Amino acid sequence: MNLLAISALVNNSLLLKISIYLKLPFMSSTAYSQLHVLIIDDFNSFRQTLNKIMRELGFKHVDSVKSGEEALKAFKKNHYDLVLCDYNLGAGQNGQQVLEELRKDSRIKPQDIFILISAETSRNVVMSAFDCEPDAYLSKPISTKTIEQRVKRLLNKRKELLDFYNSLNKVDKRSSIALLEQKIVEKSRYSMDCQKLLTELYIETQQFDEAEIICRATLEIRSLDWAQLGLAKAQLARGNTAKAIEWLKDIIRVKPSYMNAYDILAQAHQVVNDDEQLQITLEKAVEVSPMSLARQLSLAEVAMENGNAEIAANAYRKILRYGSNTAYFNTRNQINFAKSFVRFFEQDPDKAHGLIQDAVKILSIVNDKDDVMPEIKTMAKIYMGQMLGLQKHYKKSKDIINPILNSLEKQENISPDIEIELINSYIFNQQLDLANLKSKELIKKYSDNESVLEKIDCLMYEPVSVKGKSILQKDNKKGIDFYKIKDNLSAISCFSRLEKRYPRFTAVKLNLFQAIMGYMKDVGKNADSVARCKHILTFLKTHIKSGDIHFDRCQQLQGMLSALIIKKGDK
Amino acid sequence: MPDTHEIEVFMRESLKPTAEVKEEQLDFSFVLASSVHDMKNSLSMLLSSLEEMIHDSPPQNDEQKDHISILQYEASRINSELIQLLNIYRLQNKSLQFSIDENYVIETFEDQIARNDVLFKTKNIEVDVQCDSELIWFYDNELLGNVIHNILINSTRYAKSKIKLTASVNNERLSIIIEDDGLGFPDFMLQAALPENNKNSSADSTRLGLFFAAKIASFHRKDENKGEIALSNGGSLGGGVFSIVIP
Repeated sequence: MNLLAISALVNNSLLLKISIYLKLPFMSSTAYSQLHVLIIDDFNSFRQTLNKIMRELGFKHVDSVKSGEEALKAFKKNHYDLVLCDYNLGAGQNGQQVLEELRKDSRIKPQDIFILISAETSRNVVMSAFDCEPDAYLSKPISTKTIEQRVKRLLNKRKELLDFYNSLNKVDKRSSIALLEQKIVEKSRYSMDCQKLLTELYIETQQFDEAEIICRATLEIRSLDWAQLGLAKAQLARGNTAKAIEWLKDIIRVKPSYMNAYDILAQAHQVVNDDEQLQITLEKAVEVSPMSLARQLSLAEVAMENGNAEIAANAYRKILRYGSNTAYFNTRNQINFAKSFVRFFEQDPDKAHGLIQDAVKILSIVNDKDDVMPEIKTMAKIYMGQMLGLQKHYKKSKDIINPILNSLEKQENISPDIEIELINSYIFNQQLDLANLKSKELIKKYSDNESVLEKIDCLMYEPVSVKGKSILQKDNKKGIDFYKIKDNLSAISCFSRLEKRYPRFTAVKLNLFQAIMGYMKDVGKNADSVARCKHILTFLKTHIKSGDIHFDRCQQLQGMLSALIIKKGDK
Repeated sequence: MPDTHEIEVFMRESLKPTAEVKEEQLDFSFVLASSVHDMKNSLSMLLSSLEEMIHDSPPQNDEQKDHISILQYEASRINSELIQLLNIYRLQNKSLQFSIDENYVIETFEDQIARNDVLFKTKNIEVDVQCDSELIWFYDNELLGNVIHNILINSTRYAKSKIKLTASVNNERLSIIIEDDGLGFPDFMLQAALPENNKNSSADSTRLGLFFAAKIASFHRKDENKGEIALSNGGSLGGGVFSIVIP
């Protein structure tokens, strides 16, 4: 179809069509008799009421269940064309989580209708908070008439777009596009929906000009979110990432609750491997909608990658808390919560203290579960040992770690992850010589395995992987350059980021210390900075012995700090 | 030279309160909003039970019918006011989300009429709709729907037997008019609806309703134009006339 024709179509369908008053033709109730309906509500009386309404409307196959769990079971046995689901289902999953699970496993198809019923007044309050949207949202109290009307309207739309959905299910994008174009030409009642769907498909099939024309034509008439987002998506898909990022940030600035825009912005940052901006975007997104578990998980993963253990630990904790009845409550997320918590505790024991109970609880869940792989159980025990070690309960910690070591002795293929975490346990239990010895053995064993070496970097005083070396070189130089021009704050933030990612690199710690001292020289001493310097010094004194190349510098910095502390009054 | 405030921020950035900490800092308006929410849920239960009761055992005489219509009307009125209160709370907290989309005006009308279906039936009110079924306009369907809902409940109280909803587009503005065949608005309400008077939301609930309607109207903007509301008397049914214009 040529571009001008598309543009004309869009304009036409958006302009007001003053035509003869046409009563909406409803699907006949005989057609309803073929469809299968599922009602999900924990209240018996409401289930009965809905059941009665649906039967009066002409539906013959109506099932009802009282919980999300039963609903998922029902879907395994039957396919349902229409689902009426209450949001609050008592204990267990809520309606939204049921929908998410059904969509994730494609047990509910695009043409199937899911109506969410809730006592919450504002649709947005509930909807914007989650990962996927139902077809309709009804807030209580609902009259019989409202249900009738909405069901009829949605089924009419389904009927009209059914051929499109069928071709979509066959993954036949070309004919899906043709069908949508035809609907718009025919001035279908659902032209607006068709335009949104068409924009998506044009972008997916790399017909960017066409996608942009629809969006621009729409924007000429009214500044609508989806059209703005469509333009940004097209830019991203064309490879103009910087422009896409700029536009997406503008969209979010105007409408901070538009969650789709955050998701696309996160994608854009991923394209250019900007982990730092990716983390910032996801942090903002989960602040707006903390219940979205998919976003929390992306945040947890990128924060862990960036060494930001506090953010990762808190995100994993929310995933396990809000998702306790969902597929997110899995061993992988549980173990990762423990891992991020241990790192957080290592970085800041005071702040992490409040999460200890949760971490212990989660680890015992993993440990007590029957169908968990032995390696995962071992990992859970190691983290438990590490937590005890960090709290200076060395004996208790070794009581957990030593039996693991004994049982591993007989084993041949131990995963490098377990070996790395065992070394961490030695470090937390102050067995530094043992830790150094085992690290050297590990480096030798994996000398030609870059991805394991990258993980080993976190244990080391200096990098052993190619990636670690290059990041240290690049970011350390950046920090030093800031320090040289006396921009101590930027230097501090640069070295801090490196320190989070590589908690034991000595050079980074020394530079960070010096930058903080430089800062205090400028603006006077303050308690936080002094405390931070002391924290670094404690680490350095434990790990750097005389004879080490950094020993002299370490002594010198300690002298500087003492001089500053003794000096009375501030500048 | 950077000031100490900046380093404070830097050092303490991770102490920034999380959503959970915020939740713990309860204030009275938050407590009030939560209990308004609970009350609204109780009323929802009450209204659905009432609807079922009417369906299963319809009123036997006029007296019963009158009682039921009072129950129905009062419960709906409180419910709609509670929704309004929650929205005003959200407005104040800047958490009221506003989302403009294309909508069929007829569907917005149908939704609100269906919502009050039982009320119209028990009060013997006939609702007439004058709207092109193809008429599309740009607005926040939920918020405008709440305004219409609120006006419909109010009109039900004063209408003798008829309410009329009309939608039309003039000069690129959507105009929605809701009329009834009652005695019309008293003077003080006509005054309250004037643009210069609906800036302050006084405690009076009728004025609060108008304040909210005016606020929702004014959220809808295009170029220099802003939406507005107006009240008058007369119209095609001879009673109260509420109009809302959306650019």
